[in-house]
Amino acid sequence: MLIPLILLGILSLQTFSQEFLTAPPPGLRTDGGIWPLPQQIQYLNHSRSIGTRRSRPIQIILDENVNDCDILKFTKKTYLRKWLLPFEDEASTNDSTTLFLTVSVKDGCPKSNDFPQQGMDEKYSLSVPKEGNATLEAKEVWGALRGLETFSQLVFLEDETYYIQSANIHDFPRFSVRGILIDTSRHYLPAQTIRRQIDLMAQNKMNVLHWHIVDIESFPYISKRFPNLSEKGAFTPRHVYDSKTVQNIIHYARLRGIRVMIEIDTPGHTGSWKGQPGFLADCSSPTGEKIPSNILDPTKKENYKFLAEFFTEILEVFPEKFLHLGGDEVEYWTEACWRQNPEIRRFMKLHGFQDNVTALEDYYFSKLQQLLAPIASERRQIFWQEVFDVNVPEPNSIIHIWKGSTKTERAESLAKVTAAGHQAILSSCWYLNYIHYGDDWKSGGINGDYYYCDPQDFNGTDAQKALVLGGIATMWGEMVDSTNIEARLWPRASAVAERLWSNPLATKNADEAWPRLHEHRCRMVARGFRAQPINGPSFCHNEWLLP
Amino acid sequence: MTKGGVWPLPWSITYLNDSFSINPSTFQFTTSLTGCQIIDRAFQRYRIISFPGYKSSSSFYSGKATTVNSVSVTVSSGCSTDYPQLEMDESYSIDSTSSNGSTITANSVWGTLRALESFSHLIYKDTSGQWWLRQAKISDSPRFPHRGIMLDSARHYLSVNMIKRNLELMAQNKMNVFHWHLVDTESFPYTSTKYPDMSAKGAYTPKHVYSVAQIQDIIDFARDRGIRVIPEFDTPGHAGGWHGFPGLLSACFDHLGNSMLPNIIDPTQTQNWNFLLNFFGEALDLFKDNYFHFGGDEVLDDMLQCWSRNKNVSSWMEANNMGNDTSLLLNYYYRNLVQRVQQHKNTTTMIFWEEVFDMNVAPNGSVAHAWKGETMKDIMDEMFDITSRGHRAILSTCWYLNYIRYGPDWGYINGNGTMTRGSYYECDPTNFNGTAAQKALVLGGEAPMWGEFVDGTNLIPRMWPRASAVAERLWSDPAQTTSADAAWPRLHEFRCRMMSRGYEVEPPNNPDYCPDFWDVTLPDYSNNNPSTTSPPAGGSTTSPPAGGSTTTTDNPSATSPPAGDSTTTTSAACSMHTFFSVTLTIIFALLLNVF
Repeated sequence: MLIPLILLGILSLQTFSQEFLTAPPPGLRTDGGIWPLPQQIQYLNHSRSIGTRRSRPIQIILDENVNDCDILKFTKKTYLRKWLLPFEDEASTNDSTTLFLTVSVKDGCPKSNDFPQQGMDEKYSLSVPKEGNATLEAKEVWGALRGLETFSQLVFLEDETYYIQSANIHDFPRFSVRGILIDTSRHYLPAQTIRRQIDLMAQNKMNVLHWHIVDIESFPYISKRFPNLSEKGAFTPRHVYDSKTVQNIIHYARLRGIRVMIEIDTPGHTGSWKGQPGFLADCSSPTGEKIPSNILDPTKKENYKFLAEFFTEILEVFPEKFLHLGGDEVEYWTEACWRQNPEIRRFMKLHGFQDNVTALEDYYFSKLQQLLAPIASERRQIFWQEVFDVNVPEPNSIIHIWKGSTKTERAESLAKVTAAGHQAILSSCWYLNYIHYGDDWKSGGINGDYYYCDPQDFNGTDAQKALVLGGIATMWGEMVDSTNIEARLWPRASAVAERLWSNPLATKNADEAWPRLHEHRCRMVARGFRAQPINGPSFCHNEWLLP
Repeated sequence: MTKGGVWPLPWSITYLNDSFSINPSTFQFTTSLTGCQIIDRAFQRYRIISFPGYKSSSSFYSGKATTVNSVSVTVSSGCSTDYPQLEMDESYSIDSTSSNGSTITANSVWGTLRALESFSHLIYKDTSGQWWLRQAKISDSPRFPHRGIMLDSARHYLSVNMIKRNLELMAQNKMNVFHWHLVDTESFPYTSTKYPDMSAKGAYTPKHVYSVAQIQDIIDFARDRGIRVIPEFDTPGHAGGWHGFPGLLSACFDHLGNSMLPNIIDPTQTQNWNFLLNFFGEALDLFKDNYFHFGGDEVLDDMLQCWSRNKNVSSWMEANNMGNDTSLLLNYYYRNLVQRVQQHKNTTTMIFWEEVFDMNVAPNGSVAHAWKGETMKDIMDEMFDITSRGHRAILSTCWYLNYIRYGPDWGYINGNGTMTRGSYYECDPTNFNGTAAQKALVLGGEAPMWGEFVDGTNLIPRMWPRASAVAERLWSDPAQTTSADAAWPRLHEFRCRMMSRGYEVEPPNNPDYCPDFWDVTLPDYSNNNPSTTSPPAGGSTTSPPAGGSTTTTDNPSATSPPAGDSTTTTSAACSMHTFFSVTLTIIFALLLNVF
C-alpha cells in the first residue's frame, strides 16, 4: 500500500514507487560490474564463457615467491570454494574454457607476525584479455587481495554458465582508512557475526574494523591481568571475548587485509568498568542521591597505575598501530561525578583548577599521554573530536569527527582539525545505526545520503585535505545485535565503501551507480550474506533462502 | 526480564510463587484424543520449542524441587480436519499448579494450539541450565478474531521457507491471519494453472514463483498452526504484474500522450470478464478461507491515465452512457467482479481496502480494510465512519511495520504522521467514539510489511518483535495492557525466547541481552520439510549470450559494464521501464512547478 503522494510531497517521489515512478526497474543490474568502482577500468566490450557449475571455470596460479603464502593460499581457497558465485564442485578438472589467473606479488609474502597497517599498499593491476590467461600484479599482498576481489566481480553467472568480462584495471584506494565501527557493549556480537562482517568488509574493500569493545552497558573483553573487569562488567559469563577469540578475529581479519583497531574509551563511557575498585568517580544527582557512575576518577594515582598496566596488555594483544582512545561526551558526567564530588573538588582546588572541570579533563589527558609514552611510542593515537574541540590532544594524534547535525558543521570541524595540523577521520555522515524508511543510501540529506558525503568536501588547502585519512561507518549497538546487524549494515555501508575507495569524479551519481550496486548486493546474497534491498522493488537470481 | 511470562498477556492469569522443575527429556504431552494429526504434530513441535536449545545429553538434577512430568490435553469438541476460519474458537485454560501433572483444556483444536503456546511460555531455563515450569492458572481467549500479518511477495519475492518461518513466529504470537498480498504492479509470482502465462510473463524470473503445490503446502503449514491464509489479488489497479493475459490491462498515457506502464484492468472487454471469472474461480477453489481480499486501493491515477486518456475505453464509456465519468466505470467493474465471484462461490466474504466502500458497490457483509489516515484522529475517524455505515472493519493504518525509524518504536516513538509514528503497542482499533454495536463490527487488525525494502534477508528481524506489540494489542485485555513499560520485561523474555528458538528477532528496546545469542547455525524448527522449502529450479528467462559472444556498448571506455545483455528480454524490458520512469519523473517535476 502506498501513502498518497500528495501528503508526502516531493520526498515521496523518491521513496514510493508506484508503477516504478522513480524506483529503478526491479531487474536493472550490471553483469560483471565492480564495487567499489576502480580508479581506472576499461571494459573490452567482451565477455567469455568460462564453464558451468560442473566444470572448473577458474584456476588461480600463485607466483613462485608467494606460492606458499598463507594469506594468498587462504584467499584463493575462499574464492574458489565460496565466493566465486560459488562454484559447487572444486574436484572437477580444467577444460578448454577454464580461465587461468596468475597472481604475482613483488614484495612476496608478509611474515606471520606482519599485520596490515597504515601505509599498506593496496594497489593492483588486473588484466583479463579477450583470450588467454588473466594476470594480477601487485606490490604487496594486500593489493593482491583487493585485486582478487575485483577479479571475482568480473565473473557473473547466467543460466548455469559462468562468464567473465574482459577488462584492464589499474586500481588503488582514494583514502587509506575505510572502516566499519562495531559496538559490542550495547549488545554482544558473537565472534561468528564479527567474522561475517569482516568477510563483507573485504568484499567491499574496506580495511579497518573499529572495535568499540567496551562502554557503559557492558565490558565483554576478558583482561588477563584484570579478569574482574569482565567478571563484573559483562552481561553474563557467556557474553565475553576471551583472548583466543580476540586473536582469532585479528588473524581472520589479517587474512583479508583488514586492520582491527581497538577503542578503549575513557574517561567517560566507563560505567561497566566496575570490576576495578575505586576506578569510577562517585556521582550524585542535584538532590544529593548517589547515581551510577560513567566516568573514571582522575584524581587517584592508582587509577593511572591500573591504566598503564591495562593498556600494556591491550598493546600486546592488538598489533594494530592505531589506538583509539575515545574521549567523547565527557561533559555528560563531569557535573554529577566530578564537580559534585567533594574529594574531586578538593583535588581541583589543590591543583588550582578551581571550578573548571575542563582543566581536570586536560589533566587527565596529559596523565594519559604520560603513561602511554613509554609503552605506546609506536602507536598513533586517535581521539573523538571533543578532545580537540575542548581539550588539547597529543600533537600527532588523529581526530575522529562524529559531530555535526548539518553539512556545514561537519565541514567546519574538518577544516578546523586539519588547519591545526591533525589528521582526521570522518564518521558524522555515516551513522548507519540511524535507520530511515527508504533509499537512505542516496537520499535524505543529513539523515542519509551516504553515497554523497565526501570527507574532503570542506574549505581548506590541498595540504589540509591530504590530512583526511578517510572515514568510518558506525553501527552503534543500541538497536542491533547478531539478529539484524548484517542486513542493516549491508549494502548501506557499501555506499560508504565506494565513496572512500573510488574517484569522486567517476562516482557522482547514485542512480548511475545503482545497477552496479544492485549486482553487488545480489553477489553478497549469493555468497551467503544478508545484504538487504535498499532501493525499492528488485530481485536477485539467487535470493536469500536460509535462516 | 520476567521468568515464565506469557505473551500476549492472557485475560486471566494467576501465578503461584513456586515453580516445578521439569525434565525436558522425559516430559510428556498426553491426550486421550487419538489419531488427531494436528494435535500430534503440535506435540512434536512443542516438545522441541518448549525447551529451546535443549540437548538430550544434558544432565538433569531436580535438587529438592518437585518435578512435574506431563501435561494432559483435553479437547472437548474432538479433532478437526477443517481449515481454521474467522469463527474458530481459540479459548483455552491451563492449570500448571499440580505436581501430578498440568492440564490444558480447550473446546477446539485451535484453542489447544494457543494453549500449547502459552504453556511453553511458562517454561524457562535458569542460568545453571535447569528447566522450570511456573505454577499458574490461565483462562484465556482473544479480544479480536482477526489478528494478522500482511506480507507482500510482489515487490520482493519471499521464499517458501521465509514465509513458513514467519508463520511459525505468528503462531508463537497467537496471530491467526496470514494476509498474502501475492501480486502487484512489480511482479506476479502466483502460478495459475489455467493461465500459466500470468506468472511466466509476470514473475521476475521462473524461479520467483509459487507453484500450486507450494501454495497448498503453505496453507497446510499455516493450518497446523491455526492460521488462516487470506490471499489478496488487488484489482483493478496495482495490476501492472498482470500483463500475461493479452489485453487485460488498458494502455495508459501521460498528459502529453506518451505511453506509460499499464497498471489497471480494462473492464470494457468481454474476454477480460471471461478471464476474471476463470482466474478468480481457480483461486477461490485453491484457497480454503471463507474470506478473500480483492484489494481495490489507489486507482485514481490509473483511472485518469489508462481509462480517461485511453480512446478505446473512453469511447466505450460514451457508448454505455457513462460519459467521461470514470467513477461510473469503476463502479461497473466492481459490480461485475462481485457478480463473477458470487457466481462461482457464494460463500466467500469479500474484503476490500477502504476506498471501495466509498462507492457503495461492496456486497452486504463485506469487510473494509482501513489503511489511510495521517494522524491517530484520521485513523479513528475512518474506523468510526466505516462502522457507522454498518460495515465490519479490519485496521492496519497504525501498524505499517515497513516504515522503520530509529529507536524503540514498538512502544515509545510517537511521531506526528503515519510514517513517523511508532507506538504500535498503544494503537487500539476500537478507540473511537462509537456505539457498542459499531465497536462489535471491528474484527481486529493486521500489521502490514509492504515489500519495497524487504526480502528474505531482513524480513524476520524487521517484523519481530515489533509485530509482537500488535499481537498483544489484538489479543489481550486493553485494561491490563495499558503500559509499554510494564509490558517490556515480558516482551524482553519473549524476544529472547523466540531467539533461542532459532529466529533472528531483533532487539527492540535499546541495550539488552538474552541468555542465548542468535547464531546462523541454530536449527530452524519451522523447516519441517526441506524438500519443499526452495523454489523449484528452473531455467532463466534471460537467454544467455552464446559462449564467447561479444556484448555491445556505446562507449568502449565506459566505467560500467553493460546493464545486462542487451539481447535478452529482461534487460530490454528494463530499459523500457527506465524510459517510462524518467519520463514520469520529468512530468512530475513539471506538474510540481506549475502548481
